Amino acid sequence: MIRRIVLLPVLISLAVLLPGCWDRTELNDLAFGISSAVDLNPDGSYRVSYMFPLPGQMGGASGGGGGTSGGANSYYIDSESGPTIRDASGKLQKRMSRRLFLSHRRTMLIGEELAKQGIEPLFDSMPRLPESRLSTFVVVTKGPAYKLLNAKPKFERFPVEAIREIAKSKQSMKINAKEMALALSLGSDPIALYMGEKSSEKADNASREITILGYAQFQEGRMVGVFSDDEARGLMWLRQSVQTHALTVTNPSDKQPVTAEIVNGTTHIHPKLNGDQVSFTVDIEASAKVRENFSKLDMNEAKDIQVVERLISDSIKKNVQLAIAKMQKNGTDSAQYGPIVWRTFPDAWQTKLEPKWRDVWSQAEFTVTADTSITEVGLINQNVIRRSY
Amino acid sequence: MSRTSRTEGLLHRMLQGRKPVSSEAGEPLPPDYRFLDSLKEVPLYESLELNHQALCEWFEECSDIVVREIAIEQGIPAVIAFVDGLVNTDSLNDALEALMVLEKGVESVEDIMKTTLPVSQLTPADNFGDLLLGILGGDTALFVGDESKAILMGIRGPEKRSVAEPETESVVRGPREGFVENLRTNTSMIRRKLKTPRLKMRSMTLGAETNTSIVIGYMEDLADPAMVEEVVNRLKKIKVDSILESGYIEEFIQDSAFSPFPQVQYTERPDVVVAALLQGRVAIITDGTPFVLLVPFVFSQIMQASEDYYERFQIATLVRWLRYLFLILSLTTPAFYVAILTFHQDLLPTTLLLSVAAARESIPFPAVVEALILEVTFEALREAGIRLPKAVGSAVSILGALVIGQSAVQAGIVSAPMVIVVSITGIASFTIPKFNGAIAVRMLRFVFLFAGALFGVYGILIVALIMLGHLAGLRSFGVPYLSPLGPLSSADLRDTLVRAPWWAMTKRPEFLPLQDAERMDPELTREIARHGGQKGKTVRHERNTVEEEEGSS
Repeated sequence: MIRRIVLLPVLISLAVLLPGCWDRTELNDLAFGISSAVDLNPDGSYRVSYMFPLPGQMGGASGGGGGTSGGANSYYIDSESGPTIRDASGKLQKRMSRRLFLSHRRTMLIGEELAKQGIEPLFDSMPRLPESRLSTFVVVTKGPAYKLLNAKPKFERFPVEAIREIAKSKQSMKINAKEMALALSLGSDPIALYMGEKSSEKADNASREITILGYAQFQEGRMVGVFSDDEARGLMWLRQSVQTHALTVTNPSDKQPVTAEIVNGTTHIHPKLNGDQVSFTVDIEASAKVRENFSKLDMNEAKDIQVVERLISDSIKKNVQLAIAKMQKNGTDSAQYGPIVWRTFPDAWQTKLEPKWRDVWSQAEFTVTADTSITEVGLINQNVIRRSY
Repeated sequence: MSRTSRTEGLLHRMLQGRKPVSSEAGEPLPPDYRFLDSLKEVPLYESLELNHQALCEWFEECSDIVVREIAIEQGIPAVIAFVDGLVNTDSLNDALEALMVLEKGVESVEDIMKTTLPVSQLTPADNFGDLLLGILGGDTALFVGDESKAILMGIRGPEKRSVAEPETESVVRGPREGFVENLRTNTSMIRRKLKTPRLKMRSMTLGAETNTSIVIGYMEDLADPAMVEEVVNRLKKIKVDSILESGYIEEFIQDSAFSPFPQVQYTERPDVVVAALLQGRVAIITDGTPFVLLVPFVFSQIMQASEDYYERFQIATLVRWLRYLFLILSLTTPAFYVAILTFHQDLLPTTLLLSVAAARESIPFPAVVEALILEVTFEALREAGIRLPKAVGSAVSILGALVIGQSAVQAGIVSAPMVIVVSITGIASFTIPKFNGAIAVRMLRFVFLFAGALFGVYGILIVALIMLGHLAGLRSFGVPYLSPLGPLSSADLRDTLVRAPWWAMTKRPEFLPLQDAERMDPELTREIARHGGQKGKTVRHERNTVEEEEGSS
């Protein structure tokens, strides 16, 4: 008994001391970098900017008034340059009284200049740091990244919160660091969210809002273009991750528009091997809701609904063709079809396709079919003030 | 060896009676004794005078004890002795009246017992041990003539508290009677619920000076005889001057004296005792306290309340899950809060973290100090509230809520999230039905808090593992403390994490030592399982269109 009483504290202290988990840090000794922005300086060095929330000005427990009153921001932004990203961060740390803590970095902004030169450096610096999260959204910004960091969207307390909410919203494909790293490590071509600043329109005091502009098109680590609007919509279909988006089609008989919302859809991709060439059959099934109908088409009539369905299918096919054209023009496999071919024809991929995949891809032929079904026409079948014929 | 003899000497001095006075015959008068028990060896004198003298010597300067010489009919001298206040005066007067108008003379003490005294409880005493225990227990002793035998008349009329609702274990549904301080009232309450001769109540006396009566209750043919023997043996080993509460006994008989976890259950409720007896457990009823001890006691029983068995089984099950959840919360919430805030800031969602950081921005203390301040204050508030009269008690809680909850946060001494954490913890600890189990959790919370503050979640895990190991090694009267979960006895799970409906609990708990596991005739159980209840097939109502089910399998 006595031996056990003596032994127990020894064992306990060994168990808790040996793993070396002795790094207590109080919450108010940490600076939470909730977003970082990396840009390329003209001299080739990197400019790293961080956004830190200021807990002291967020209206804490002492109650004294809402934190963001009087125009004072509850965050601040600081930036530093250096030959590497961590070097710049180190310089920044010198003037910070709290330790830079990156576990809560939820968006990472990349300046367009840097993206065009290549983002490989980022994918060394970020995963090397254990604090980093691969679920961070990666956003390429139109213009310098630090400028977007300084936008002042009205809805959210922090601008990066707006970026994050837009990035994970229903309307956009969710591209995070993990997905990009995966594509890059396969030697494939990633895409990234492409966002920019936009002033709110027609307001007395215009605010600097953030908007999604499309998806940055990368060739390996270098950005070569942007999928915007219809190309972006087509890309969603090709990547098998269609998001909610509105399509406006024109009724050919009376030249009036009909707007439908794509709510759901699946894409089936069937690669076919013809010698050294590959062709793809892309079968798209979409379900849509009619949201507005200015045309004379009667939503009571099955044949009229079929007309709308056909129009939407054509529109989808057109978008997909646009996206394919964009990819083949720049020779990027942004839709990640390389891995699909790899899985379908592993031998052919390894022996002959992989070495010249970019050429094969650029010459690949696509057969696109789209089948739309309208699941809902809304609360009314036709305009409430329109008389029946 | 030397230590033992020294203790004995000390005990001897402590327990020794007054210096004996020599009688004419040279014998010490009254007889010397160390424990009252030892006087059971000493027979009464065959002389009324000597007996009277002995009593007078013993009870010298005892103003509450009446030793009175009387002469019953025909001038036969007699002596009565009783404790004033423990005796029902009316009954005593009746008895004396019957004695004093004795008509046919006295043949012997036996005669008086058989024919004269209008008292239902009469016991003869032929030794000083029984005599003194009887008198001090409230009986009236009667000596008649020069006989070495006295009559103990059980005409007790002590002041006692009336049976009231137990305050520590109140229920919404269930009997509202609780034990009182009087042993016989308590045993009668058990007997009234358990009308079978198989309920045995062995009696013994503990405490050299207090001579507290103890009753060991068990069901014959149901409780394991070895278990009963073990209880009796452990009780017999207790040599102490006083037993003022069953808590004294508990600390003497438990398996692991240093464990924070209770290995003996106590209860104020007769229905709980009866339920335990019917599981083959043993009850220890102590005179002078309403708290009856029940052994063995395992961890899962900490989380059971008597009302679980009176309310519908669904809610009883859900409430049990709630209790287990809050048990864990009560143990670890402050620890996890501190650990996450000081070690694992990456574990919280960003917005929550920023809110907490904003609240903590102006707090001058590290998180662990803050937690300690609040936890200790909370414990102090609780302690203060328990002792105070009810009227003042509410004032304390108002002060506590205002001062701690409001002012301390506003003054920036503690943060609001920490107040929330401590409040959750406090509420959680009150959901544990057995108070002695809640005490263990209350103490261990601080261990977890320190572990979390020093080593983060890793430390919490280490402490949790040590605690689990300790629990797994613990025994209560030989029954593993974590049973029926470890070792697993799957049949008992229906009354552990869930509470099965009564008709499904056909067997008594198997993890307890039992002689007879059958609790009910399984016929009705089968019927209910088949039809989903008793369908009242014999009840005919003109609107009752339900056809009699036939040939259902």
